[in-house]
Amino acid sequence: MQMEKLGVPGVLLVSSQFLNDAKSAAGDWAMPGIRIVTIPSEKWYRFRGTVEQVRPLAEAALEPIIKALTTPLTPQEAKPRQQTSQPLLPIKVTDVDYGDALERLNELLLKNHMADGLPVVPATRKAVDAMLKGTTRSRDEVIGKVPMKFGIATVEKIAINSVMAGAKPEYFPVILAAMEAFCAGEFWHMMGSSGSFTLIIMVNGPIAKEIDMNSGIGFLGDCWRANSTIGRSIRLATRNIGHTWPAENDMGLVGRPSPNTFFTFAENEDMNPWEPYHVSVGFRKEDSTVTVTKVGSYIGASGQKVGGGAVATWSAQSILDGMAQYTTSKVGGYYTWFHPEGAQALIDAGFKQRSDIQSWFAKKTGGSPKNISVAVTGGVPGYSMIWGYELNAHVTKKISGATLTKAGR
Amino acid sequence: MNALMRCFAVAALFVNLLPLAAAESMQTPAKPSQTTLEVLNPMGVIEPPATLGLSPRVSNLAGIKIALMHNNKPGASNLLDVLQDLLKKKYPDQSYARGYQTQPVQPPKDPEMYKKAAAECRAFIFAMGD
Repeated sequence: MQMEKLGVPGVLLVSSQFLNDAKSAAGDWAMPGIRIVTIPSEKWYRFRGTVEQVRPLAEAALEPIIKALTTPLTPQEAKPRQQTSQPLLPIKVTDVDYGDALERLNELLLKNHMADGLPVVPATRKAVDAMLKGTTRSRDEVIGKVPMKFGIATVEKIAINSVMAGAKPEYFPVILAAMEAFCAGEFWHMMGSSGSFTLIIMVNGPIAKEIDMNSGIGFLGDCWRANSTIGRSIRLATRNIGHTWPAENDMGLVGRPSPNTFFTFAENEDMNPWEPYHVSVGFRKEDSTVTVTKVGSYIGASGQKVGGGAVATWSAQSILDGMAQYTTSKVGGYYTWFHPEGAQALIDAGFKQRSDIQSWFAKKTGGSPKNISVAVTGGVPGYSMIWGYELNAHVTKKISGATLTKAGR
Repeated sequence: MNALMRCFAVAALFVNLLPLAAAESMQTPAKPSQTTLEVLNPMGVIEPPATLGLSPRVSNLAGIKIALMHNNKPGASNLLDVLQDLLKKKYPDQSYARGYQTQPVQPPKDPEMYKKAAAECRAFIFAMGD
């Protein structure tokens, strides 16, 4: 698009599976009519590896490419109709009783790409108003713009999605802070990428206990309403406010790990022998924060478990060495999570400060100690874990504006 | 637009809405024994950017320089290698610029890349390796 904007005609070559995604992105970037030639997906991924194999595909694409570069523009291509915003009005369903109406609503929302495949709680005006009572912030305040289509995330829009997710109003300030992190201009979300990246949402500070977040055994799992519905609120808000949908403009090929709730938990500060994570990045201990991180999926440093859990024996050194085998990049960051016993074992082994851990990994990677994030997660027994992240995809925001909890005000 | 239809104008900008869903939304008014649920719309408002037209096409590809660009995804360069070969056979006096590429899923390292390419070339072919 940049070249077209600079007055140079061109053509975009994409695999047929990415055609919808390409058209969608072209509209997002103001040039919906860009000319596209597709390469058949069923052949492209098999045969792109060598010049010899890809030749028949190039031969088939040649004439369409020439045509795209030389055929005069239609009036619509030269001067397309301005894309317009549509009103997003309330949605109403009627049926014989509440259960049937709820089912009808869920069907309708899903068909219109406004849900996540699980039943949602009806975001009635009353329920949304109740959610908004969890914060002092104005319903019209803009938190940011949500990719892929840069929908405007007002406090009210986030509240609607939070109600749908089943969140309680006291969770809402956490959700807002997480959305602030996600919408931060510097946050490289990659929520449309075929690599199927996902999010880690870690809560710190006293609000975590007040809203009963799990930080112990099963911290990445289900059965804690705060963990599950805070994450689901973010998931729904990013889908709905950002207008994203799988295989249309979210091309995560294997789906995003923990797809409905992301990985949402609280750091186990009670069993953390160092200062809490948020203190290590400049916040006060009494602050409550949320840290949002984009991480990879099912490959390399994407949640690898290290240590023995309840099964095998381990040592401080074996944990470090186990993690270090995944630290292959010196330019990225690493999120190292130590289970409480592992953290204590590291203290006993001489890693008295968090900075000692950071320095150890920095020597391994050749990168900077500040790019090693250290948190304590899970219970006893537990596993340590390691995740890789891009430096522009790891953002901590302070939780503020809470009205229903003592913390986060 | 009557009140019922207005309530049901489920809108989304560029994401395809399924006609079936829209059709289902048009219901008869609730009877006294029925239950109605009205919920707020969860979609984000989009402010579309000013829509731009395409650049005029070239009348002939003969003798021009074409930027063969890609996003550094596997195979994109191979595809352009063959296309260059095929184009060269068809237009022997064509020339090509091959150094312009973005990083995978990131902007180009050189923020001036597009300006340089636009100054150098009369047309471009951008291969996405995706």
